[in-house]
Amino acid sequence: MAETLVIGYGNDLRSDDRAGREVADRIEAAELPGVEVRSQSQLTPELALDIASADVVVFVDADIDCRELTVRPIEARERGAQSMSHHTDPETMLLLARDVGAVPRVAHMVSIPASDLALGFEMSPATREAVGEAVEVITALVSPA
Amino acid sequence: MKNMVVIDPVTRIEGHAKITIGLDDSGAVSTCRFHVTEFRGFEEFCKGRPVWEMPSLTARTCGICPVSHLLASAKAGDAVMGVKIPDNAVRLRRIVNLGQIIQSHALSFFHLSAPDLLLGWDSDPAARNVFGLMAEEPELARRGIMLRSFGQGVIESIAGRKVHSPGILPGGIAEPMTEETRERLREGLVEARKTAEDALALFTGILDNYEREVAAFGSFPSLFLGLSNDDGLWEHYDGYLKMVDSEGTVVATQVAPADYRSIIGEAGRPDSYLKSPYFKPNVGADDDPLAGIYRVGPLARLNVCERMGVPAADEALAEYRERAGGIATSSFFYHYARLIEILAATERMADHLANDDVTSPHVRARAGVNAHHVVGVSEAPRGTLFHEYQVDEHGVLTDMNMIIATGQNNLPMNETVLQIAKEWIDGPSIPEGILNRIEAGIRAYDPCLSCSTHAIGMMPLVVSLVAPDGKVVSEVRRG
Repeated sequence: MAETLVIGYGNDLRSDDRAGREVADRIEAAELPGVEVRSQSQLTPELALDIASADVVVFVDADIDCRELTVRPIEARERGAQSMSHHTDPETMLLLARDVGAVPRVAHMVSIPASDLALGFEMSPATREAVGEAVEVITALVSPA
Repeated sequence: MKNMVVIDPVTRIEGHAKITIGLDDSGAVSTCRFHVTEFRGFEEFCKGRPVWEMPSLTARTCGICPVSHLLASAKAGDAVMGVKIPDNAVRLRRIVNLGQIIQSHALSFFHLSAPDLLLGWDSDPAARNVFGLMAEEPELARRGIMLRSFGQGVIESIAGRKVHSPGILPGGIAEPMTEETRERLREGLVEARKTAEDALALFTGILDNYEREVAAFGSFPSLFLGLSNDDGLWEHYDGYLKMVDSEGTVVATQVAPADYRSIIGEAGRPDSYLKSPYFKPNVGADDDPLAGIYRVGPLARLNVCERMGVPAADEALAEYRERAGGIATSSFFYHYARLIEILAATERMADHLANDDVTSPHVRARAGVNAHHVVGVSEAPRGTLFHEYQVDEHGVLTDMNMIIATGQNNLPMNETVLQIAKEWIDGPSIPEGILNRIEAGIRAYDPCLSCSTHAIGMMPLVVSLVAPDGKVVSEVRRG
């Protein structure tokens, strides 16, 4: 399994919501050594198996409440009764990873500002720009010092 | 209405919904409505797009069961081309669908319903989830995740990606299966089958503890719809439409999928975005669609077929029918049926993988537009899925209709919630354990409301208890 796992998720038919997947696709295309990538419509439980065997995990998602690109550390945490539907959130995924194996040493949440979640293939200019920025930030984050 | 209970949102299902329970003047439950409160309008979005894009586009109706949409859409595309796809393409599509059934049913049983079944309806709601299950039954929970992962791996191996796979196309499959993939899947099947057998043994071991739930979780006569074939075997991909009643009497059979409108009508309700399909011959112009209520999905498929066609699952089906007294009419048996289908899927997949032609390179037919009005049907994990397309001479969609499994279970879900509410609600409050039973009644169907309304999102639940004058007496909210 990879040292680093990048998981980009979102709905790629919902304009800016595709941002996480767009970042994942670009990171994958870069073929960074030791980095594996998942491009998902949403987080589902079996991802815990991959997360549990990674040293570093980076979640990437569009965020309508976010004004600028944000990178923050996250920890395993249950977020309530809805925490395990057909899909879930990064903190809960880390908790599930703990239960099936181990929590990664480092986990980051990369939030990309989004404003338009209507049906559509195109991202808004601001989100498109933030996607490029996110790719650079994540590349630096996962590359050996 | 003076007394009414509202459950909003419903948890551990896909999408947003609420439940409104009406009380009569004596405080007894009199009505119940399951509302789906999101709308996505996917059918409109797809108009104007080429039919060749439809598998990829419609798969995005849902991130949970995209393979089902891929298959139904690809089959509609086959029909547009007017081709018979290569035998091995059919075989590979069947394997993909079996993988889809395994992963979807595994999620439903191990993650969404097992906490109720194994930890108890009245257990601490904060721990009544997959983490509580991890604490109490760590090996079971872990194997559930592994089983789901295996199913996803099958999809990825053949279709190219776990979600929104690009490898299933009109005309067949994009790439043949390699020997390496074949062997890897065969190896994975050993553990998958063991997990299926163990889960089935676990469920049958505790089923007798749930006599009251079996009697009240949607235990009523209805029709059952599924795909069928001339051999009477469990069908999940092709064939014709067949409908039986609660006595097992065949009320419709040999109905070509393209003729589905001859037996299925669709009614709208003012308080839900979920359509209510019904069996048309039973419903007159002024009748309530409830007269044509039918169920789809694992319960229906097992009622429609004569046998599974594989040894272990056939043995399980015999016990299932003995316990159900013949045709299973309780929706609680959806859980049981799901486990039998997982077992059958592992056996069927093993048979397909044992066929040396499974690595044949002939997996795709090619043609232009030869038909303009087509229907593609497949059995999704949750039930029969219809994609109906009207295309112009260039293959561009001018009209479309999708009938989703969860929509077809809309009327039964309403009846189920009503039955549970009548059985357990006594007075204007809803104890937590009762709330959970109401939700679990919905969860038995494993509804995917993102698909059925073509909406997206989680499914929190609100339950409202409403008085005859319309006043909300009690309201419980989750999520």
